[in-house]
Amino acid sequence: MTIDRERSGAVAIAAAVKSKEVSAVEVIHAALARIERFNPILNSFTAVFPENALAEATEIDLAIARGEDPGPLAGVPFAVKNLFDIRGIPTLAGSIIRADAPPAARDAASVQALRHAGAVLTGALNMDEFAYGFTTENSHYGVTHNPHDLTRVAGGSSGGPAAAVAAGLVPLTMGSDTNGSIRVPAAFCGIFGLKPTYGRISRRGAFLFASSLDQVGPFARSVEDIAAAFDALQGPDPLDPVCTARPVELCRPGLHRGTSDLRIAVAGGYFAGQGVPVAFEAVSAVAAALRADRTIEFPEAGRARAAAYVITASEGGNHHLPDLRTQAGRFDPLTRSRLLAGSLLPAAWVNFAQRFRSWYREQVAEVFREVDVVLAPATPCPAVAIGQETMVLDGREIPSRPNIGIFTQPVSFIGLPVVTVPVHIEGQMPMGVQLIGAPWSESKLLRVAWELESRGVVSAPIAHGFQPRN
Amino acid sequence: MKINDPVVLAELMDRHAVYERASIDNDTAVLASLYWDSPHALRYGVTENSGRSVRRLDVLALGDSTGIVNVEFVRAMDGVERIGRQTEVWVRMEDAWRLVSLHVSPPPSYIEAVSARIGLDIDPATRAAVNEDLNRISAIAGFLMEFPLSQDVEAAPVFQP
Repeated sequence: MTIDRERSGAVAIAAAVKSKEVSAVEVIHAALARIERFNPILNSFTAVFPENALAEATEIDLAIARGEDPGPLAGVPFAVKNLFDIRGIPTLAGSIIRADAPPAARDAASVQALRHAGAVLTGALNMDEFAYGFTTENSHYGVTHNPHDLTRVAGGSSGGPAAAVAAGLVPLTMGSDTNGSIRVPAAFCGIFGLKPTYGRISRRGAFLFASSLDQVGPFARSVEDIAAAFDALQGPDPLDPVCTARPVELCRPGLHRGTSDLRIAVAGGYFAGQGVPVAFEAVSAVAAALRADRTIEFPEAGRARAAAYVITASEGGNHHLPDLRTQAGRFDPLTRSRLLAGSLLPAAWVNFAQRFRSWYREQVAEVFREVDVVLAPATPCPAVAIGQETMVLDGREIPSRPNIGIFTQPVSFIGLPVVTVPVHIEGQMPMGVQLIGAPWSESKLLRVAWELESRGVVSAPIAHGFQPRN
Repeated sequence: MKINDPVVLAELMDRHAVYERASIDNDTAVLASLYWDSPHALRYGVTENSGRSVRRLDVLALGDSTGIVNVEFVRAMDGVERIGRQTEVWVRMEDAWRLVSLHVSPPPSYIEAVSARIGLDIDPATRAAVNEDLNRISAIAGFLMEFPLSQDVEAAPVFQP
């Protein structure tokens, strides 16, 4: 057998399973063994489903034996942030409040789509309570550790999904991103993450945070895996009111087409300040490889971040108002007062923020008439230490948790698609660079990411302490 | 009955000033000496008076033994000035003025006012943290609201990127 069951990515596993080089059951056994061995160190999984996963793997092997095609992700072990509905268990969304909720009646759309493509659900993953955080320091279920340095956070709110992939427990996970919750943990954990265009993938069955901004997307250790997952996840869904009716645009077949037709620029102004040097070194490395010597600016990006902050606080607070009324004491102390404050915001701020969003969308659309892809840091700093309260940016000491997302918030605010690519600089924690595109341009972003990966500029190796034993 | 006899008015102003001073200093001995010692005496909504400034003061003397003092005051709460009101009913008894009824309506804080309107009872132990978060959002929203957004710009009901 040539396939490395522990190290391989999703696409390689599916090919090996379909060619009967390895059975899906063997692949799932290997993944379950890694989860059992490493999860106590990382705390990325909050639930593991060994029996169900092995039963599903057996079905896939049987289908292949019958000559059927179980799909492009046949036998690929995956796991989802615990805000996705999984039939038969309550959807926690990182809370204890929802541990009492009735079990989900059906799988979330993303879980259905990946299963339909042949992937096998192995478990549910840790997150900040109700996705309101950038560090996955969850007071109920514990902190998720960064596989590259266990004293640091994995990022959040999709910290469990990012850590599980970075440590090679599973090759594919799903997270959600309202203000950076896919891009921040992908950057901190040194892996690829895709935040698709707002409305591109159905969010049905994903526990919402701020519906005006919420999107779901995959994490993986290769661009081809991200593209394969994204292609499986696309498609209209009338049950998600914001899900697009646009036709599916498959990205994986065109990944290798090169980037010579694309105009690529670096985000200046707001995105060139307020960070530590390594954040900009990572952007420069990617820009140099792509010969991107042009700089553009998103006008009023700072105010876009402010408006995203206001909308998030208000929608989040309103979403949770029934529980804030009756059981505020059961919220995580890290989210409680912010949700309470958010529930009280004046309508003047929120309406203004929504109108400002229309204005800003037009300004940024102008920028994308000139360029196709914009490069920006994903975070202002590498992964912060667990429990860290403040950080110093531009000589000012500021609270760290609310400021980790300063570079992601102005982008998701208008629903732009972003691929976060991992840059590993020797002796440093990994850093992420955002490849930002116009709405619906995921295929261009993935082509750029693939080009960078194939030239070794970006990569997502399994974190050092989690290499498979050979 | 003589209304607003200057001598009586001066006495009431003096009693009010003594009461104000004692309540700011929380001088319970002086306060006790001012109140009518009776089960019929009424004290509504009494809170500490520090940090407030008087915006309006009306004194009414009805005859020589009844007086009403109305105060409108301003106090900064959650960083915003809010109006409160106070009514003192004074009666001269056995040669001394006594406070027979006191009603203070302190200004509700923004958090108290809005949370009451939406049926949200915030645990007093959490209020300081909520206030801190609200102040943080307020600073961020203030920066946003400075933007000169044209009145023509509409929000998108279902946002299409």
